[in-house]
Amino acid sequence: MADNPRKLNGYGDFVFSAHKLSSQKSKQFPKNMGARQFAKLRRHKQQDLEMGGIELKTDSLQRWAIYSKDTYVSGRIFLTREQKKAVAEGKKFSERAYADVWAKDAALVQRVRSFLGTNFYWHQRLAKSGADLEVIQTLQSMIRGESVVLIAEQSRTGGVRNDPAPKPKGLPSFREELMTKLGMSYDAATAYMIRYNEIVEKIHAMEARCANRAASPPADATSDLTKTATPLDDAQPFAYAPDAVSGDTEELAASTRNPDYAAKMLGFDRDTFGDMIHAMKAENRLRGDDNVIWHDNGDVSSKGLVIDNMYNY
Amino acid sequence: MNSQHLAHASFTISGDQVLPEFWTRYFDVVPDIAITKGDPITDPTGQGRILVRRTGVWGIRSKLMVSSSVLEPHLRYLINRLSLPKASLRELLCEKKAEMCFFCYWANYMGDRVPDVPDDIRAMIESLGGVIEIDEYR
Repeated sequence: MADNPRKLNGYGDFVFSAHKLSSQKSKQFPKNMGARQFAKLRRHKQQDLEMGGIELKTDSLQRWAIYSKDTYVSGRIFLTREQKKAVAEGKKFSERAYADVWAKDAALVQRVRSFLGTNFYWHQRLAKSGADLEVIQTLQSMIRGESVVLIAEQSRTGGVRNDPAPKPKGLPSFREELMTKLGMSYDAATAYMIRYNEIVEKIHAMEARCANRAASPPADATSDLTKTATPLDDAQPFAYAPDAVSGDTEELAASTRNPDYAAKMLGFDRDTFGDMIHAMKAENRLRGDDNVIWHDNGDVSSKGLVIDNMYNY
Repeated sequence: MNSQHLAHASFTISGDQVLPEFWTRYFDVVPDIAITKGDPITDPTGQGRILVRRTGVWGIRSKLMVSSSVLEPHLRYLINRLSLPKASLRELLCEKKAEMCFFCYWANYMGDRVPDVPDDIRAMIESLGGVIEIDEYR
């Protein structure tokens, strides 16, 4: 699949946050900790620094770390099988956990506050002054929706370390190009990239369908098929039809009427998001076919008014 | 997929004049949804915006009480829980300018499921002035 169009990612998007986390977390070392234990923790925290994740909790068997989904998939088109397994394992672990028990662990809650406040700007109020239980429940909800992934890094059952691709040297990221040359906001650039990735996924799906139709496709035919797609790696920045960008791109790119796109924009799987939409519609007395617009901060609007926010469900 | 994720139903009474306390007393049931028009909405974006509910809604859900991938058990649960039909309900809905709805979640991502609403349930709900809405996801 090396010749296929590549999905976008925001290289280095959370690097700054890792540094912030490191300085915050250094205050958490207990003064009476042994040298060996201290070194072990410092090693873990150095890994966090490199990977943009943060330790959630560590027990005798494994260490659980949380990452924003963007950070975890950085540099990849899709999650590997091992990564998917690790994400599923983390979801199960989170689902089994009692929020009120985690909420009693002050250090854990503080780490979650730091993580949410740093990586998800719309949770800054929650991170700063939300109740402990609310903080934990929000984290669990985000893990359930996969906007946050929980990874066992010394798992007995196949948990894997993140392995981000190295940032290309000397070239600005696509996100940076969008922001500096087209003047998009960070969020608008993100939404633009999500849309691009939707198109890439459709191309992949079309290719899969073509491949299935062929009874026994010759190797060179498949090769020709994949060569028709332009790999992003080789694309020049701004080869992506800048003509399509108009003055209102930011507004358009940061919102959608399509629930499937909205689910991806907000980091939820389709089934979970469908359930959330239904609950939102019931509480706002919207009809099944009422059109609403989803925005990238979770807002739901109808007829120009914000009527709710999906993170309430 | 869990069957709860394929089908469930909510019973709602809605309208600008809906006061949840009234309907809680009327049905003698603790609601899952109790919203009065103008109630504040949590703003999780941290912007501190003042958002309010546009209309009143009182309701109960079958989701956590019934595990079935088809609608009938969910609808029958709601009907039994609310002791429907009630003779005075239709008149009361008119008086309070409220709408009654059985709002059905129907996951149909494969496109091969047909929602089931038994005729006797449909007739009873319609006789009370209510509607059944299928909220399909595919």
